[in-house]
Amino acid sequence: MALALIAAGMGLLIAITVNSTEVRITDQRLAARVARLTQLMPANSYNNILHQDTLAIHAPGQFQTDLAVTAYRARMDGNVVSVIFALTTIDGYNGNIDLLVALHTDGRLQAVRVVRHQETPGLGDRIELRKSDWVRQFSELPTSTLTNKDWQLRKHGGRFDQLTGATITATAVLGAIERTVKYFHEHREWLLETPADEIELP
Amino acid sequence: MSNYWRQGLLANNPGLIQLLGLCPLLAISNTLVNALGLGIATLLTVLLTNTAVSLLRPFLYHAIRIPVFVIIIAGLVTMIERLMEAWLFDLHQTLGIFVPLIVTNCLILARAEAFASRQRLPAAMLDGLTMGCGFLLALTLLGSIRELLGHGSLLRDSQLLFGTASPDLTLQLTPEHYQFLLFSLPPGAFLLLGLLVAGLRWWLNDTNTVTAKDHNQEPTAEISG
Repeated sequence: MALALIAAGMGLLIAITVNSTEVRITDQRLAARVARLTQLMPANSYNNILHQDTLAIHAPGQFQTDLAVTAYRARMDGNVVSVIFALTTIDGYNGNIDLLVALHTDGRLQAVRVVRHQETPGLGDRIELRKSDWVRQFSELPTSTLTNKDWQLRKHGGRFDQLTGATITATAVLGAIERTVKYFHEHREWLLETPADEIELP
Repeated sequence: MSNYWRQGLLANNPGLIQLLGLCPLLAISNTLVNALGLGIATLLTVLLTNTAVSLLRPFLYHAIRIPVFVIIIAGLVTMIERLMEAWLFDLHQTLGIFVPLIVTNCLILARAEAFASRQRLPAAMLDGLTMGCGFLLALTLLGSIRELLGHGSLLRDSQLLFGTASPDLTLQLTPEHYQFLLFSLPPGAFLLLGLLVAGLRWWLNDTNTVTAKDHNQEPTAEISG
């Protein structure tokens, strides 16, 4: 009896806390996501609300996940100017790597940012812009002429700079970008012309 | 009264003498800001748990006391985690799983069982405060040393704790990109914790404050993990 009452009392307190923090936590999560998206492109290059113009992509073969990958579209006066993919690669050296890949409508890469990872400090963590410029090699990069062989690190005969001591990490990020670019080229029209999903993302 | 503070901070320091809660102590002490964030959350948890347990003493039958402690601790930590995510969002993201894992910190269950369930409210609260401060002290000490040796700075990423509107409080004592990886990684935490434990014990022995009595009056000091 005492146990049940105490459990009920704690349950009530938790319910009050959850209820009173709900709105603020949702806002904070959204703000964090928006802040990450806005880093990818100049603020004056688009004028829509990014997180309200999304597409859920179900392509397990291409994105290593059964879950939907989210694509955000940046528009200037209604015309799409960039598409941003929020995806995860499972090939990291130590767990998953979450990244954002932005492409111009002509297929040029606009920018890439690593959002979350647990790669080795001092070696693999140089995929973060905060730690090194490595990820900038993808900025404003034309992709239509790249062959499969080009999508490799230099030491494997490709076109991209490696990270010393973090080959697995660099290959994982490079592979995720390659898959995104290829997906974009294959589904360009659908990505640019489908109306936005109605759902508000969690 | 001052005996509580001496016990909590030095003679029976939960982190450095009782060696309780080593997992967060080693994992989250890579920077001072992380250490402060988790230390304060743990301090709040142990203080509030001791308070609640002491208040509920009339209903604490022997058979149900452990479930009651677990409900109280899990409930409080859930609330603290929600509040942190609402008001200290970035710090909450950085500490990650270690905020909900405060539930499993033996320090909290140990103080509830060994002390708060047998003491009046003021004593239980003071014990929670001093033990929590002792853990906070161990975390911040280790956090400061690791950040200094690992990054050459103190209070880096201070905005995680004090908000984006606050000035950047980072004290950079070495060139910007100085890094000594060993101390940022878990092995460095083990080495430094060992040195801190040895140093504190040596100092306490030297000043004759660790006596047989100190060790015997806290039977739960045997719990570890």
